Order: sequence, then structure tokens, then C-alpha cells
Amino acid sequence: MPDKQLRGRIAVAGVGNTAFGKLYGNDPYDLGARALKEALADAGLSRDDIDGLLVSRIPDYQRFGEMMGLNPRFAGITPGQGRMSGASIELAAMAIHCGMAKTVALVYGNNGRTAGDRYGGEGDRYGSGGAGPWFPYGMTSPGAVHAIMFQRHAHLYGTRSEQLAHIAVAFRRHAGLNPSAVMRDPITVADHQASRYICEPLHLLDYCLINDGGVAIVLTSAERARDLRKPPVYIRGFAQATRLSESYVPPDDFWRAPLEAVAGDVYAMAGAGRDDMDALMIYDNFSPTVLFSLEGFGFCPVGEGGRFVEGGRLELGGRLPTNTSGGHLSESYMQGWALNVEAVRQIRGECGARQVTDAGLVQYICAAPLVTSIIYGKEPS
Amino acid sequence: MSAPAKPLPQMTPLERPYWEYTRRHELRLQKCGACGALRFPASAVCPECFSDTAEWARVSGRGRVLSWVVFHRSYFPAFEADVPYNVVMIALDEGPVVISTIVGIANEGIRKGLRVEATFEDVTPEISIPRFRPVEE
Repeated sequence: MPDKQLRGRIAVAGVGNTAFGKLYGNDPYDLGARALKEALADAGLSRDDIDGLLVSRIPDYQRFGEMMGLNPRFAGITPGQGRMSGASIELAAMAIHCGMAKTVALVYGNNGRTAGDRYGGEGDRYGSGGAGPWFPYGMTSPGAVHAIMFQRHAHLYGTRSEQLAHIAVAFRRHAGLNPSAVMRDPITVADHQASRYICEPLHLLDYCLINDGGVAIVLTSAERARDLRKPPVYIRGFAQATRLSESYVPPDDFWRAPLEAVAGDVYAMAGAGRDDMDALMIYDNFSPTVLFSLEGFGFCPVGEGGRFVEGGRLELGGRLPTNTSGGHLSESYMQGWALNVEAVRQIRGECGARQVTDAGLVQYICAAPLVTSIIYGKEPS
Repeated sequence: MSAPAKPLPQMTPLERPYWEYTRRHELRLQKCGACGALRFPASAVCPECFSDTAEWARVSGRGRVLSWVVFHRSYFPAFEADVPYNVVMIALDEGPVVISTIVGIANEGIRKGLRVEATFEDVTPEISIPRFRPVEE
């Protein structure tokens, strides 16, 4: 696990995002540039304060630096995969801790809607070098990978599609309270069940959106963040683990091994336990990952995720408010970036109608072959 | 107008022997020359012991269904006419897991634990791909 001494030493100074939806005429660079301007204004920083740059899904860091007139001491790029949002934030924290940079701009741009991204078919490069080996069988798309995992979960534990519906309904309700969300009209369990199958057993409403948008996050040392415009949001803990071996097929344990490893590390580093979390931001590319995440992090026993999400437990006002922005299912598919921004805004108390009362600790979780979790706090320790 | 062609298997040099055997309707996987572990997909070294020696060992072609899905939308134009079609995850009796299609049974009849065996479809004169059909225990 990262050195516990790092607890509360790095903080989020600024966050920014573009509008979400169909933003025709924009490419990932434009979207990232606008988001970064917002994040710098939010932090009360200027371009020249940035000495670290990490871009994701934006195709080239050099072109982005050229556009923005940046000459950072530390620069890098991560692949445009959702699991890389948490990993990028963690990398930036490490760069700041070891003195490679004082203030890192993390910038993400996604024009998937404009570009007509389909996440399946010939262009599918999901996972271990893409699903190419299975194309002759018509097997493609990350949605199908999650569908095959959910089917197995259903057989092992009796989990039902109606239980997934509760996740979609909760997040849509949250999106209705979020003026930035793309899909805001309320839905019911019956709507979920009546939505068409994409890859059975998953329905359309188990799938995330495909939309355009940009997100930026500015990280700096806790010490420096205290002098800036907004109150710091401290990174209390972070951790990472993987299951890369045999990842040419979906994992037989729903990534439980790396999820449990990350849970152990992130709570120890944060000096807080899962019961201390005021809200969760769970990477929801498809609704079943919410079950896998809750089980892997021990919020409920293995196999009981379906029952756990019933009864409004994940809704605002429930025991464990989750994806208060609406998440990928209803706010915006920003591959984890906007969920991290929502965590920051919840800690700051900026979430208006969807604000969690006294949000002091908010946890981001991403279940994937590369698992990450980050715990954000109002206080450094 | 000819129908769009379905995607054909990738043919990296490493994977070519697998497809040369399936063309002969034989299912063979790499077996490590040092520790004997079977591996799939093909790779240059054994993920168990890192040995780079391997032979192509014939496997039974029998296995059990671990999980499955039914595609109701097609991401490949050539699969439009097949919708709804199944894709199945199968644990071979020898251990490795493969993705394929079940034939000879309605999608509704697919069950976890269903016993299956490989059958080969000649998709071009050069290429045959393994599919699976239900068999008795």
C-alpha cells in the first residue's frame, strides 16, 4: 500500500467540466481545454502554476501542451480506459509527493457521441488487447463482458435483473437533481425491465450513456492547497491492484481478489473504515459492476449485492448514497473522471439539491482488471 | 450485392498453429514443455513457469458451460441476420476457458453446467472455427 504518511498530504485544489451531452464540433482537445480552464478558475490558479500534466483519452499530451502553452516538468498520458481515471489521479499524487511536480493538471476529453463510438465491433479494443480473438463468434463490447459476468452471478447467487433495476432507478433519481446530467427523467423498475435487451441478460438501462464532455482536476500538496481559493479536498487514501492474468475471459471471481486487496489498503491508508463513508462513487459502466464493487469492498457479503441494492439503500437519504450525480448510467459517461469530481463537490458541499448532509468522507471505487479506489476527505486525517 | 463477411480469426504467427489444427477439425492448445501447463490464447512463454518451449497438445474438446449471453443487437453488419445469437463461456475439461457459440439447441435451452463438445464449422476453405454442441454426460 502507499505510505500511510501520505494520508492527507495531497489535495484537490480545483475541478472543472464542460457541459455533457451532444457537443457537436468538439474534439477531445477542445473539451479538455475548456474543462481545464474551469478547473484553474475553480482553484484560483493560472496556467503558469501548472508544472505537471497528465492527459487521458486526449490523443496526445504534446499537442495538448502546445494548445495550452504548457511546459510542465512532468508530463504523461494514460489510455482512454475508464480504469485509468483513478490510476491517473494516483499517479499525479505520487508525482507531487516525490517532487516531480507541485501542481498537476489532469485533463480528460471524450467526444464519443460526436465520433459515433459504439464500443463494439471491429474497432473494439476493450481489455486485453481487444476482443479480437472472439470476433468470429460475434463476441464484442464491454457490455457483453459484463453481461456474461452478471449471468454467472445470477446463477451462483440467484441475483435478478430486477435488482439491477434498483441501481438504475437510484442513479436516475440522482440525475434528476443534477442540472448537468444528460438523462434526468425519472424511471421505474418496470421501465428498466421493459427496456430492450442489448446483450441479454442486460437491458438498455443497464448500460452507461455515450456522450461528449471534458473533465479536469488540479492536484497539489495539501500545504499549497490551503492557500488557494477553495477549501482543500484531501486525498486520504488510495490503492491499486490488478487481475491481469487470464483476463482474456471475464474473471471467475468478479475481480474479488483485487477488490479485497484494494479495500484493505485504502482503508488502512485513510485511517477510516467502510462504515465511515458518507457517500460512494462507483464506476458504473454497466449496472452489475456496482454489485461486484459493493461485494468486493465488503459493504455486503459475497453474493448478496442484489438484495443489498434493493429498498433505496443507494439513494440519497438511504444508508449509502451512491453516484449522487447520476453516474455513468444517467449523468455522463466520463469514465470515472466526473465521479471523482462529484466526490470533491460533495465534500465541499457544492451539490445543491443532491448534497449529502455533512459529507466528510467520500470513496471512489472502480472494479476492472485494474482496480482503484480513492478516499476523499474534508479533513486531512 | 454480396452479404458482408463475418470477421475471421486473427492470425498472428503465434496463433497460426491453433487455426491450422482447427482446419483439420482438431482442437489443440499449447502445452508447456517444462511444466506441462496448458495455455490459451497462444503466447510466447508459459505464464506459469516462463518456459518458452511448448507443443500443441490435442484436448478432448469437451467442457461445460460457465456462462452465456444472447446478443440482441449486432455490432458487426454480418451478424445482423443472426440476432438474437448466443455467445458462451466454456471451461474445457482440461482447464482452459474459451468463448464460442452453442449450436444444435435453442438459446433458451442453454444452462450453466451444460455438457458440450467441440464441432467445427468450415467458414472458408482455409478456416474452420470450433463451436460447441450439447452432449450426454
